[in-house]
Order: sequence, then C-alpha cells, then structure tokens
Amino acid sequence: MAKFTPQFVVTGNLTDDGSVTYLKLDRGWTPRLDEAAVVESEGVGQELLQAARAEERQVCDPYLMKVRALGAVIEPLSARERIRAEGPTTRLRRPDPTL
Amino acid sequence: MYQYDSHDQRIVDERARQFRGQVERRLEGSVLENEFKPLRLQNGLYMQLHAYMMRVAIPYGLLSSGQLRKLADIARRYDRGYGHFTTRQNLQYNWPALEDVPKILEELASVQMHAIQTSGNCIRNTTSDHFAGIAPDEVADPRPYAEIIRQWSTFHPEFAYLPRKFKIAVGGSEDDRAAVYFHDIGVFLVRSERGELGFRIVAGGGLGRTPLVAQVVRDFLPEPELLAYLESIMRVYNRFGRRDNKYKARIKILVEALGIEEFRRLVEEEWHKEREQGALLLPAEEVARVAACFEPPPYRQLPPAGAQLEAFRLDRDRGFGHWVKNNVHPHKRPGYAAVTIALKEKGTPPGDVSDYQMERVADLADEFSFGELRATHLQNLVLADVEVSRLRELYEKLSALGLDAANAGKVTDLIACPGLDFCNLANARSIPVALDIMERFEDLDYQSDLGELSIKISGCINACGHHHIGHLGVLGIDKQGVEHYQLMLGGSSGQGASPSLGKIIGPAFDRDAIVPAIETVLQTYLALRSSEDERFIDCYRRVSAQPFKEALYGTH
Repeated sequence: MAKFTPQFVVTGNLTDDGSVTYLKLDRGWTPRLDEAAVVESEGVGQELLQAARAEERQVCDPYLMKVRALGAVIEPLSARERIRAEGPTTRLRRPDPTL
Repeated sequence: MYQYDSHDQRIVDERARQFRGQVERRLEGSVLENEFKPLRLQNGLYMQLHAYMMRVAIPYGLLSSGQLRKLADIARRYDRGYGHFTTRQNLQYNWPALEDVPKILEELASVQMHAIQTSGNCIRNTTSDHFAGIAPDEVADPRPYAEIIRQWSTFHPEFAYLPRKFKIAVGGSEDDRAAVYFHDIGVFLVRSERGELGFRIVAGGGLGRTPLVAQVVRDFLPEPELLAYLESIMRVYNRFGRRDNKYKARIKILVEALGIEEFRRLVEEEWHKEREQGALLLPAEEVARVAACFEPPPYRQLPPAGAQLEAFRLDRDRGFGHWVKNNVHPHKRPGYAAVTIALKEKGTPPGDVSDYQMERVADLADEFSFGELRATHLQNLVLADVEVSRLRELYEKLSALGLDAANAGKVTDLIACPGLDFCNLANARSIPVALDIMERFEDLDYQSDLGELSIKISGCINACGHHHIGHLGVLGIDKQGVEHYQLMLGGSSGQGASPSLGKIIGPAFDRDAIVPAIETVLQTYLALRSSEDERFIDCYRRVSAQPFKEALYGTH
C-alpha cells in the first residue's frame, strides 16, 4: 500500500466569537472546511500560516492541520479536527418540558 | 450566605470595567491575542474548540436563588440557553461572544458574582463540602473558613505569580465529600483533645498527569493561625516550586521531591519566622463576622422524621422510593433533609442544565430551601434544607422539570469533563461515553443492586473528570487519531472510603468496547461480592485487580 502523504489547511478561531475558521485560497476566511485552501506540502503551508498570522486582529492562534483531500471533500485526519469541523457530537441543550 | 461589603463589590465592579476596556482594545486590534490571552484568562475566559468558554466562580459552591436566576438569564441572553456545572463547583458557558463578556461580568457583579480565580496560576476558587452546615457528622461548618480563604486569596499580591495554579479545599467532616485529599492544600476542621476547634492541614495532593494523595503537614493547627500557616505553605511553594517545566510545577511535585518531613520542616520554619515577626492571625471578631453570614436559616421546630423517611423509601411509587433512598440525605435538624438534584438525565451531558430549569430550580429553592442551593463537585445541585414532609411535593415538581433522576451515588451519577466535544486539551470525547453508560445502566433496580458506585471520566490526562478517584475511572486517549479509553479501578475520593488512586487494569478499549468493558467489571463485582452489602470499592480492595483483569482480558 502506497504511503499516504497528508495535505494541509490553515485553521484558527475567530477573535469575535471564537468560532472555527479556515483560510481560503483568496486569503479570506471561511467557516466551511470544504472551502479551505489545501496545500500539498508543509513548507507551502508554513508560508500560508505566516500570512495568516499577520491577521491577528481577526483570527487567534492560527495553525496547520493535516487533512486528506479527495476531490471536493476535505477530511481532517484527527478526531479533534473532525469535531472542530462538524461541531459537538452531543445534544447542546435539553428541550423544555411541554407546558 | 456571605454578602459582599463595599470592598468586595468594588473589586468585581472595577474588574468588569477594566475588562471592558481590554476587550475593546482587542476587538479594535490594538491588543493582540498573545497580549490579550493572560488578561482574558484572569477573567475566566478560555478559547475552546468551537468558541470561547467562560467559567464563572461559585465560591464553595454556594448560590442564592437570585444568583441562579441571573445565571439562567445570562445563558439565555448571551449564550445558547444552558450552563454546565463543573467538577470544581463552578459554572461554564460554552458559547459567549467576546464583545458580550464585559456585559456578562457586569451582570454577574450585580449579583455578587465574578469569574476571578477560575483560571491562571493563582489560588483558584476554594471548594468545600456540599453538605456544609447541615451534615450531622461535621465538626463545624467549613464555609466561614472557605470564605475567609476566598477573601485572603483574592488578588493576594504575593501569590499572583505562582509556579502553577493552586487549589484549596475545606472539609468539615472526616468523611471527605469534597475530595480534599486531592488538592494542593486540604483543610479539615478538627477538634483537639481539649475540644478546641482547629485544622488538620494536608498538602501535595492532586490529579492530572501525576496523581497523588495529599499528606499531612500538621495534625492540629489552632484556628487563629489558619492564614499564617497557609501563607507559610504558599511561601515555601513559591520559593522552591519548579518554574522550568509546567508539568513539574505543582506543589505535589515539590512535596514528593523534598519528602513530607523536609517539606513540613520548611513550612514550620517559615511559620515560626512569621509568628516572630507578627504573623497574620485571624481575629476572633472577624471569624464571628463571617460566620454570622452562615447562621442557620429560621428552621421550624419539627419532630424527627425517620419513620416518614423509611415509609417514603418503601413507597408504592418506586420512582419516588428510589429518589428518597438515593437523593435524600441526613440533616442536623429534626424533620429536615438535604436533597440532591441529580443533573444526570439520560441524553443530557452530566452537569448541563437549561436556562428554563435554572429558573425553575431557583423557584424551588425559594419554595423549599430558604432561597439557597449548592453546586457539588459531582456536577449536581443540592437543596440543603427541605422539610421531610414536603419531599413528595418537591419530587413531583422536579419530575415536571425532568430533574428527578433518582441516581445520586449510583452508577449513572457519573461525572465527566467536557472532553473532545468542547475542550482544547482533550484527546477523546467524554460526554458520549457518559451518555452511553447512563443509558445502558438506567434500570434503577439494577443500580440499587450495584449499590454505591462512582464512575468518573476524563478526556485527557489533565483529569478534570477526576478519573483517578472513581471506583471506575475512564481516561480518553488518542491512538493514531482514534479515540481509545483506559479503564482504571479502585480509586476513591475519600467519601465513604479512604482516599486512593485507581490503577489501569490493562490495555485500552476502543469506543465501541469501553461500555461493554464497564459492564463486564460490574457483572464481575456482582459475582464476587461477599454479600449484598459489600460495596464495589470494598470488594475491589478485598479481591484486588486480578479477577477483573481475567474477566476483561481472559487468563492468557
């Protein structure tokens, strides 16, 4: 089996509300992982990251995350990043009783 | 409960005002994240996976109904309509926007609350026994001393830059209901042979990556010396505690490295020096002033209610019977009882409570318990002063709110950290495992058969879910990007059994296998126990790990 080489996406949390955000190709930010810029090497990723770090007003502590891009689908490689991308896996608030 | 004086109020008002300016500068970009981070952490504001998280301090877990209503109001207006009670008797909001946090602090200040000492390398919110003041077995009420420690530690200039965070707990009974032995400093109220009130001081306990049971530093400390002695311990820690490695910086590492005798010698030397130089002694009138805030409420003269409680336990309504048996606790005063409101409803994360429920529970506190309630480190709430004759009425009202889980102290009364669903530090999810356990073992007759049993779940080695001190502990780990869970057996927080640390039973289980593994342990216990009265922890200590290991992994 061929050795799998991960790809990279720059991610962080927005300063305003802490929500998850991803760097796009046009250097803008998006909450959608499938709109993120995917780079093939960590070196190119580091260059993108440097650019992202210049936008500290907007985004906190950006970093590189590993992904696997299959066509238009971008899959995070860790459980942590999957949950960041999709949100908590549990119910957030119990419903009020029927009055 | 304690009421702020003008100094207390000024502190929280000014803090909210200061943070408003800091947030404005962050949002306009003149302060960047690396500069802002220590400022927000000093106001209990963390960055988690999906959003900011704000941790509100609830000193020693005590809340008024008005404060709980305010917490509900904040949840509704500034968050997503719920709050999460933590394992340190605090409350967390998981979704506040940064610009709203100053407003939240102002709202909190309006009801004498804040988020100070809920983060950073300071003395954190002091915790205590949730049955303080009403427990029949207590030596004295620990709350006045917890409050005095709160006032002493808030913004104490000498301890503003400690090597690491520092946690203090105060217990009033031999039966340790506050995990006192797992704190940096533990304070137990005791009496001397001559009947004088004082303290047994323990230090060097903790969980996390190096779990340790605290050791006794002084068997008896006279009451006036409390702060002087705590200062002596803090000074030794501040001077000798490691600052080169955050994982080695807690006081427990120092106590281990020095040995308890040498640590004690250094503390006593510092204490004697302080006394010679005019140590900070607790004035009796100040103790009396604070203690007056914790005077018993205006109880009615009621006859003892033992027979009525027994009848309730055997009630034809088995839900009510189980609830009285498990969630109703003894009280000092005849005719009264304390009630646990278990925040362990099937399908809802442990400790979560909606804004609607908070408001209704505040109403119940007014109606049944003199307008006060307590948050417990077991992620439950307690109404401490309920008339036994009104228990059924209370139960029915809690049932209407979905807060009638009759499982206090039982297998589904588990605690769990937020885990990888929310936490930036976690390696694995905790809440889904907790929910599966609650569903798998929901049958109350089965829970009763299992008896007293605690499961504690953490999503990483930092152990916010106290996994080392669960009778069964579950630790989430990451194995090549996949969640796995280690199972530990034999831990005890010190409640109902001597404190002990659980031991890993064997190789970790994957997500699908962890709950069946727990069931195997429970079934093994039922087969091994010497009688129906032998609790899990006693059985485990008698038979050791081997039969459980064989049941889980086979004999090879």
